[in-house]
Amino acid sequence: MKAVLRLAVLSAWSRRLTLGLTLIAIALAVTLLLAVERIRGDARQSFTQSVSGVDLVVGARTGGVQLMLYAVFHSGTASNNIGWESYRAIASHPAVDWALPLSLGDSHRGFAVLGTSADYFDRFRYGEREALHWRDGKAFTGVFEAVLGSEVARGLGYRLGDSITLSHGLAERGPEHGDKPFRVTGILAPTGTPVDRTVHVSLESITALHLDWVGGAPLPGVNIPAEFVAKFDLRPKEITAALVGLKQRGDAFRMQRFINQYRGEPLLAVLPGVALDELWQTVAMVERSLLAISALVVLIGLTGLAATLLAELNERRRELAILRALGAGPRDIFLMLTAEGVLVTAAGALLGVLLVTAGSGLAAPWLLERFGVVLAMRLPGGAELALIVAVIATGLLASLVPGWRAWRMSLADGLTPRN
Amino acid sequence: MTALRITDLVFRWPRQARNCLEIPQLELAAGERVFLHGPSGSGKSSLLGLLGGVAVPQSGAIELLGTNITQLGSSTRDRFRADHIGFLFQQFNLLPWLSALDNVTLPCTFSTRRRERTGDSPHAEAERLLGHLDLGPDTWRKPAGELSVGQQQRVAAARALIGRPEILIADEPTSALDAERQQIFIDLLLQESAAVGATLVFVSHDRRLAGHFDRVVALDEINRVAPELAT
Amino acid sequence: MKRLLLLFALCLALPLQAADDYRDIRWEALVPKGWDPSRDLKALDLGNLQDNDPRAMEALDKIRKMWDNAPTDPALAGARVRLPGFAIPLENKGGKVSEFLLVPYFGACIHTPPPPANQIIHVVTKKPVSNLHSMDTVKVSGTLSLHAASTPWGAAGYRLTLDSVENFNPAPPPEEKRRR
Repeated sequence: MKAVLRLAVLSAWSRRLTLGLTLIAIALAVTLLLAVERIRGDARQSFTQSVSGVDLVVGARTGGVQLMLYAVFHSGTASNNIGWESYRAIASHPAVDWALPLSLGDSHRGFAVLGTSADYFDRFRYGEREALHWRDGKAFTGVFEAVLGSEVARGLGYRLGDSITLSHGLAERGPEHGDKPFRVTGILAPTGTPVDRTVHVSLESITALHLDWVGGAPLPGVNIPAEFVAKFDLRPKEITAALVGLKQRGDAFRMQRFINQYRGEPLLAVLPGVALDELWQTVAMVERSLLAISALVVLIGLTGLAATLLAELNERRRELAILRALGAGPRDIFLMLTAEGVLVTAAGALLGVLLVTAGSGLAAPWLLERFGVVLAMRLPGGAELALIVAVIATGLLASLVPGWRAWRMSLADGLTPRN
Repeated sequence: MTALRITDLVFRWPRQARNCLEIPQLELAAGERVFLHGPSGSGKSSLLGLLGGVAVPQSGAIELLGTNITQLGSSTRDRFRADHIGFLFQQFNLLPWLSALDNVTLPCTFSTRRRERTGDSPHAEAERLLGHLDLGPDTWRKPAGELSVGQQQRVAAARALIGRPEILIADEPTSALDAERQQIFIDLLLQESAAVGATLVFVSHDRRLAGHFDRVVALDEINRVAPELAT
Repeated sequence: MKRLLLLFALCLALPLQAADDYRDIRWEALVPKGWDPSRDLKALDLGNLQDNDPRAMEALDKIRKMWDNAPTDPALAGARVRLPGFAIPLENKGGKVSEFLLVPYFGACIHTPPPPANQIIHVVTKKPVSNLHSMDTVKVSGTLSLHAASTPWGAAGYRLTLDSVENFNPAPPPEEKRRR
């Protein structure tokens, strides 16, 4: 039997052009399948990692998922802002332990700009109650100072002391606040969350930037130079959202109700866990469809393999008769053909794994920059391994067809095939 | 010692109405070199299949080296064939993607008995046989597909002979060779089979080649079933 | 000999017994005895009131307020209990839920009034739980404790250190759904 298997490998090698193409087809299908699974898992992981220890996320009355997207993932836009008074009412509520104001809307070369208070850097938690760490420098203290996330600094090559200008709006090249440059005072260590691709400034800076702007454009003829902004009241009038921590986590619902029914203006408060679950439910449909399609593609590849092996069988009748003359039985022939199929499937799967691993390495920086998704370049984990095993098992099933056909053929042909 | 004894053999292909073979008696002594004359359609492929144990007769006995192979299970028959019979076909005897040497040693990977009979050194024995059959070392490592037909037949002969199987069955091995080479090849085969003491069954439709054999048997005479006319 | 066997059997039974020493409780058990917010409403004789009598509404409002500030029962600290409810994930660790809120009824969201302080339990797991989603029906087993924090809605909240949880409607992970 071992002799037959060794011959199977050598025989397959002699037909490596045809089998090679089939192998590539399987490899690409497996790459697709694993990539979909990996991105799905990693995206989900990235999202759930982005916020920790936050009881409520508060913003204007939009949808819960949308609020999470812009408040936590700095992605997308808010439909409305919330007033500073409302924020103060919430922050000073006796049930609230701490609150962080967030002001979004500007950007820098494609990265979001976040206006917040200085204690954001002490308060903010991500992952498993991880605090933010500094790679370099420290928090901003005054106006026109910025703290960069690790990806912003790395991607654009910034260092402490560098000067940057911010753009109005989220477009890559929006109208610039060119007259008010910011000085980089700190760079954060990598977190694997949207923090990495955000530029952090003080709330006062945001106000200062827009002193002489109205409706998304500078007031014509009015220009307040940077050095004079301090003469104006820079306290924010509105913010985009807020992160809230409570003294008792069990008070979340009551606080949520209080905020949702707040008379001052229409507000929305969501529990991050609940909002994320909502997001996953919406996304689950898409995920499942993608995986189903990838599975179908794998099936197509394996059907191709079975068809190739079957088609070649006719050419190989002499080869099989020789093996029979040498002492192989029909069962050995069956095993040989099936083993060939499994071998090609396994080799294709292996190539697929290599492609997806290399691909993750290549795509990771772009995915992080664009979507904040951390795609680790790693070997397949639990779910992915299960998929690979399933692929090889299906390959085995598919190979049974040429195997069975070869069995029948060699029984009929004996030692003298008719061709 | 009888190498081969056929008794009351009746064989018919499945789904065929009439019998293909009806052989009441055939006996070959050990070491005999027999020319079996069989034109196409005379059932010789079927007979070879039965002798090789890949097919089983509807009734009758086939005794090879004292063992009635019709009584054996199929995997036992496969092993018997591997251990005791060397085959030589008309053409396409070799696996084209293996070297000549690897082709010759194949039987030793399928049969430990034959491997042992080479003194556990199949490669050395293969080289010796190829040398005997006038194949120089430059051909040994070439993929078999690159050799000429004549060379391939000789490699096939070496493969059939390695490990000294007791029975050699050659099915029209010279038909693909040109006329001058045919007799040379036959003489080589006769010589080598005598050297290892094997029983040689040489099947061919060409009576002119029967000259140097110990015995000539006509399949038409021993087979009671009339041959089919031209296929 | 027989006595020895009996003793042996008892010794075997003990750990099994110990493993199941949770008290099955209902949510009402979390309310301190003798606390009745509807006293005032009961005191009113609804039959003798006129329509739209402000006292009826006042009494109802008072009940609502009392419910909002419902006290917890310090006697339950350290109790090993088991009770059913609905889970709301709060924190996760490596894709599994490490903290969640347990509420007595489905859909504690903006459309329905939230449960009072003594009807919400903040569950902290020892080992993060997988496959726990918003509003899954669960049965938790663990040790209750009281966590003090002065808020307008009560001086202390219930906390449960989780030993085990039974999830009655886990969503199967997408990988297992496919059979190829």
